[in-house]
Amino acid sequence: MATNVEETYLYSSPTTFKVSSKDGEIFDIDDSFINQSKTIKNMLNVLDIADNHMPIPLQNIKGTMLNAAIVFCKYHKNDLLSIPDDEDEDDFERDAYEPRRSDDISEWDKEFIKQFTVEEGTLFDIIMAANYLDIKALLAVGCKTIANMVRGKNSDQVRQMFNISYDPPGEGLNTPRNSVTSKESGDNQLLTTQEKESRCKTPSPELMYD
Amino acid sequence: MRTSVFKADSELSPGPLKRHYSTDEVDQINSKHDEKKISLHGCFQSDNLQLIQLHDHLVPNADLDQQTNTQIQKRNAQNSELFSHKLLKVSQWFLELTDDQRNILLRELSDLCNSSQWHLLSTMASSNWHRDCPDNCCDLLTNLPFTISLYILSFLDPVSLARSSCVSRLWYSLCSQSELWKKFCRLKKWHLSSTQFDQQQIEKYRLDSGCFEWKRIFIERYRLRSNWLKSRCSVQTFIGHVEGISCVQFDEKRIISGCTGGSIKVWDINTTTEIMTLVGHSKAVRCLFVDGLRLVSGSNDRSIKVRENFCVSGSHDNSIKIWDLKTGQCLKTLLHTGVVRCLQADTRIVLSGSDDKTIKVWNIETGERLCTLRNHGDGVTCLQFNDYMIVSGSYDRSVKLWNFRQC
Repeated sequence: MATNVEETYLYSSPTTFKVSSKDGEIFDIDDSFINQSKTIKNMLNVLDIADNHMPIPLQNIKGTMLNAAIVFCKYHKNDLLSIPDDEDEDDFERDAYEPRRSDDISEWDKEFIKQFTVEEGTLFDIIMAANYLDIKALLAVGCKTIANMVRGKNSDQVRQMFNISYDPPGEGLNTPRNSVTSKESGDNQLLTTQEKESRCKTPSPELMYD
Repeated sequence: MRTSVFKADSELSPGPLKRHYSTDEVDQINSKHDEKKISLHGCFQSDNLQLIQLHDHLVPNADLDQQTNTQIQKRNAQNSELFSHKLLKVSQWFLELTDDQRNILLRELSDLCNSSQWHLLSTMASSNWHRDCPDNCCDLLTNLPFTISLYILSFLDPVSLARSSCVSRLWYSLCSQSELWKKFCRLKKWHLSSTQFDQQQIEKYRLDSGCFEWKRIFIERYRLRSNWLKSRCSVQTFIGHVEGISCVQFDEKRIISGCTGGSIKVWDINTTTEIMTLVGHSKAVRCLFVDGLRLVSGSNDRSIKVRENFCVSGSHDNSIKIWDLKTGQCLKTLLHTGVVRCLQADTRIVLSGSDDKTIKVWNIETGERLCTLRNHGDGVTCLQFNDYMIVSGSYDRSVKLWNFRQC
């Protein structure tokens, strides 16, 4: 409780701070950003920044990404309360009975995330920025977007999408095994990816996911 | 750099006879360039190409008279000089830009391109996707921190996850993370029929470290479920009975079948061979109960039988017989007062339902009748019990719940 009071004290006044990106761009940030970025919030709690004109250096983030993150936070400043507390997020048991959804990205977020692409590496950058700044909502939107890209594609399509070179199985863990013998002798062997894939392709989705 | 630009230029502006550049020709020209600068030159070449097409319009075919040709050649020469000058400048500017700025410029230029340039770009680009990129340059999952990759994968459904595991070795190891599969196994949809079976199956995949192989647990469940839904199964036939089969039961190792002639046969579930025949009932065997190593039988001879390693059978002869499955001996014969229609046993008691409208409870060890439950108005056809209650069905068209907790 004591910390809460302290937090409120530190930036209860309508303050703006300045942050500088990796490439030297300087941005003003306001409450909407501070409240959603845990990193900045903690930073402001730890550092005693008396001089508002001195920008906080964020050496890991490009200017374009920082700008995008600020825009995102401005838009989402009001739904702050609906963001689940991240402490529970690590608790695997908690959502054990409920599959995570990734089809719940809002229209605005969809449009927002469209500007970042896999090919240019910007989607990677924005996720890393969200991770560094610890903005849960932005991280979730980025990760869900990637999950949605991967969903329903076969491995070839995924490889193509992410420009991944195929390292075909044949040795090590991926040694293909005769699938006929797998039922009996499978106990001390790992299942091969092929087996799993071939198995997964056969059942029709209608039956599986009605 | 400079020489290559000039060279390209002279190649591209030889004379009016040249009509449309075919893809092959463009490729040839490209190959003469310093390979590393190919994408850079792509833009300028497309400009060049446009010039040539413009000339094409001026000179519709090669049959024009010589005079016109020389005029045009002159103009071309002037143009090409001017152009190569501009080209050089642009290239120099371009080299001064940072990587990011170059990308912005290229994007800007791409907006100005028309179909001809796009055609050139596509033919050029297709063979150069991610040239000079490090391996897996766009592979987000590999490049992102482990926890984030796992977070992304946690949104996937089992099928997508399995497919993703075929993408590369690294994806395979990411997608094989036990927590991801544990989550699926915990979903109600993927539970086995009872918590007991659930636990039994999970225990099979306990590692020495005490962890569970959740992925394999899930795979087994997935395989089972899809096989059920698709009715994929193998059929084995057990041959030996000489009369119709009236009831069957099984455990992990055995199948026990009773026939209308009164005999009971025990089969090896793996080899389909007959282990033994239990003879004793004089009429059709109505019902069987096997529990682990025990078997109870009920018969039309009004008897039931039970034991460790036992089988109980009920028969039309009104008997319930308890069989020793090791020796095939009939250990006990319990006499009901009507045709035994149904029975169930646990380690302590046997319950039998009969045509005489009663349910009788027997001590499995002594064969002593503990009590008789009367309430049904007609023969009892089926029953199930646990420690707290019995549910029974009858020809009297009623189902009855016998609750022992509330008294």
